Amino acid sequence: MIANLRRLTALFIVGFAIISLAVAYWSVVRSDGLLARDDNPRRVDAELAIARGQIMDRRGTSLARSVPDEDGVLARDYPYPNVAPVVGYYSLRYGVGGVEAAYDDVLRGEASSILPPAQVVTNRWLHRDPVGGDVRLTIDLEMQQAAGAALAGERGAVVLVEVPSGEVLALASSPTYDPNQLDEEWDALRENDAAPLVNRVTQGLYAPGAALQTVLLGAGLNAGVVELEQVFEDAEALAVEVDGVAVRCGAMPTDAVWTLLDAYRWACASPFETVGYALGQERVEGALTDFGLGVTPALGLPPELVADVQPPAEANLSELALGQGDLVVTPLQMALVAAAVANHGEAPALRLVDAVRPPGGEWEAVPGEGHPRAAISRASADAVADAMRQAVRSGAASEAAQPDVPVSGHAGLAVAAADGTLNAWFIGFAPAEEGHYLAIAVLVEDAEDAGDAARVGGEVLGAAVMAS
Amino acid sequence: MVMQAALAFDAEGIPRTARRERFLLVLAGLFVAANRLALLLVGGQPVVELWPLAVWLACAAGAHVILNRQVPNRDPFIFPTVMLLAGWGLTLVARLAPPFAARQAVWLVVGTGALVVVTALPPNLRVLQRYRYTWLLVGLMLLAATLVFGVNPSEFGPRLWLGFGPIYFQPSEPLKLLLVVFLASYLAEKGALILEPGPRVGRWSLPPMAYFGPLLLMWGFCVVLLVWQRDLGAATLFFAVFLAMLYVSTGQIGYAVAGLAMLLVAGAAGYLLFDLVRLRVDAWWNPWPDASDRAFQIVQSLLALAAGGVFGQGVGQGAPVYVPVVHTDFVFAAITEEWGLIGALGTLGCVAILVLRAMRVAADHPRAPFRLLLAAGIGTLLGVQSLLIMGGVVKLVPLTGVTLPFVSYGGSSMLSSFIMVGLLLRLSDSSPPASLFRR
Repeated sequence: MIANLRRLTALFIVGFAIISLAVAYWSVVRSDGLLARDDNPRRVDAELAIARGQIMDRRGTSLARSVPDEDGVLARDYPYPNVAPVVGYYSLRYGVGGVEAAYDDVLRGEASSILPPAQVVTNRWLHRDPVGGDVRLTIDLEMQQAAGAALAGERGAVVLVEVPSGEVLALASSPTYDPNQLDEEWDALRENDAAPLVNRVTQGLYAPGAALQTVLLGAGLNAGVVELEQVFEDAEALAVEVDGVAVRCGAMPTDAVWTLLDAYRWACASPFETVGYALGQERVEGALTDFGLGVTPALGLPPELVADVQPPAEANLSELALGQGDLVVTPLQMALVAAAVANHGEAPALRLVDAVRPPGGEWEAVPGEGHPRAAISRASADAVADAMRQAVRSGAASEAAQPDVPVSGHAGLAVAAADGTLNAWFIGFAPAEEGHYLAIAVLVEDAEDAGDAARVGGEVLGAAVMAS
Repeated sequence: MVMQAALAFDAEGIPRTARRERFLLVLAGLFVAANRLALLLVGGQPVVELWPLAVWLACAAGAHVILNRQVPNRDPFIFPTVMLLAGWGLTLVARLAPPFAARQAVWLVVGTGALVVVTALPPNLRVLQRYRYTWLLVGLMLLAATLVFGVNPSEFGPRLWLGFGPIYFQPSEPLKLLLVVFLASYLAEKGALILEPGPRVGRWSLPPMAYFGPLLLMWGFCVVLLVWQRDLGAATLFFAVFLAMLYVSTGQIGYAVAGLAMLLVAGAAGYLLFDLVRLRVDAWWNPWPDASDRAFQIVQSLLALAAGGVFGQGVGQGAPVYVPVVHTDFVFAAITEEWGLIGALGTLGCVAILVLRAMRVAADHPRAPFRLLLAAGIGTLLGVQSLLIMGGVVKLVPLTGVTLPFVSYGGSSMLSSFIMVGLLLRLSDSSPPASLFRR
């Protein structure tokens, strides 16, 4: 019996060893994969324990903050819901978007710039609740509100950039969503045909259409192949068709259209086909690159938040000159065109995030990611700027005119779909304080004429200059 | 058989056993106290919340002093190991299910008291051996009472409890002990006879029916348990203990293999016939597609293990309460989450020490088969029960819903486990009992 006892004991030891190995398997080998599962409630706990940092506008007004609810659980609060296109959202169920996503590690207090990695490990071991850092944007809340208000009821985008600093002052997309209600409205937002979750400024891909005339005019003047006084046959009468859709002038001209300047003022297409041929394929494509079209703008946001824009592969010169065909641009890129004109030919590098601050620490500036880029000569740029001023005085952009603010700009149409749907563009600028300008790009989908965009652009520029 | 063993004294005149046990108890006390204090600091609780520690200290010290008189030559490792597990369990219950902590503390007091009383039995334990059919009858009556009057305190699930007002009692717990006593007595007497050749079927020689029959009844008894009560855990446990004791007694590996086959057949039948069994087996075999529903428990248990890692989250710092009924069936998952792989190995080590010492006690009675089989049966019972529930928590075997001895919340289990340990301590010391209150 003693021998039997010994064998039974050995069997038990084997059993205990197997259990030990199984525990090690789950707690060490399979640990990471298991903990990443969606049904691991510890992830929500860990998330709720974080005192997430604030997102502020350039003056320090809070745009996103975590406040305790009646149970003491921290909940994300957005006091100004219409900043959603730039601030984004934070949801336990649906993740993060916008700056909430781009600066997630800072806001969670995990970025190495906020907290040394050794400290992160120590805090985790001691189960200290993480405290997040704050993010300050270049956005001006007042201007952002003005942009949102001007777009209300439209589908479209507005982006306002300070020149020469390249700071983005307003970034509005319509329709948008209330990040406070995201969990409740998510399904409806996803199914909505108007795509409220898409940031039209950075992710909306549109045919530039007549908005490309500014680029062509600048490039043509720069190359010396065209002159503003160049006389055409009655430009308005010269019909151009794209995919069977007649491309109209930006607005019905109220005076004679004989020169290139007249055609630019009223955003009539046909003379710019001639400009395109005068420049030739190579110089047109070079101009696109110089103005930053076909290049993803560096905004300091992760790539999934800014559309990856590719130059068209083999573009037809005629289509290219009309801003149709395969060429697509985002409103943000068109704002860079406006900024280059306002800035005497040099496109500034964009900035959206001004500074970050560790908990209890000092603000540290976040440098812009891109570089200023010379698009055209100063003289050519100033000539285009002057043409823009005249387009607002009398032209398709006249609805942008403001009583107290000298607005310059250009408004035109683009064919959005073969059924004849048109989008309206407005790009322009207005002087702020000495040597500074506010440049803007506006896109309004499904527009009647270019005035729809010009009106929005004028309103925002007027309000923004008053606020600056 | 009664003989006065010579007590081994050390330089200070204290018996060596008492000295060793005291040292180990102090170590166990330090561990329990450190964890209880840490829990206090983590939770910011008032100092009065240290009361479970005080209860534990009183039980450990009181029992130690009385045991020094009753069983001075006992095995010095068993009691400290059990108290370490019980202290760990009390800490865990206070942490995971605070409303149950007071009950668990009462059961700890009752359990240690019962342990001390059991060690006052005469060393040959003849009273247990002689009245084996009485014990069996008591056990069967308990079972019958459960079949008829059984309830479930949570009002759903298998009705395995007998209710006496606010107190619920699980008859399968004392039943386990009664069966071990019966089997030890029966096999000690008839074990040799089973080996004699019985009727032949072709080439096969069966054991004599007259002696083997009662053991077949045992299998039938387990099946009844399974069929009537859906108590997969108790049925498996009884049968495994039965096979182990049969093997120790006869040395016939064939019986064990045949028995395991019968167990699998019964299990397969249970799978086909009973939803509860099928649910548990399915959730064990592949829990992932059903992780939010029927396999929720086991998946959450594995998540708790994963959260533990090597060093654990720290006492009171993890989130094991996400595992349903973590304080009873899944206490091992909670240990792993908060004390990590190290804590799990520590628990396993304690159970292993308990089993090994029980086998050692058994081996000390080469000429007293009843006592050998009783000690081996108790060791097997505690060991198999631990393996079953720990194996269930780590998804090695289907969940059986048995407790982790001394650690899980559960009064009946605690009481019968302490009585078994009392018997082990009694068996480990062949000196005659001192009177409980001798001056």
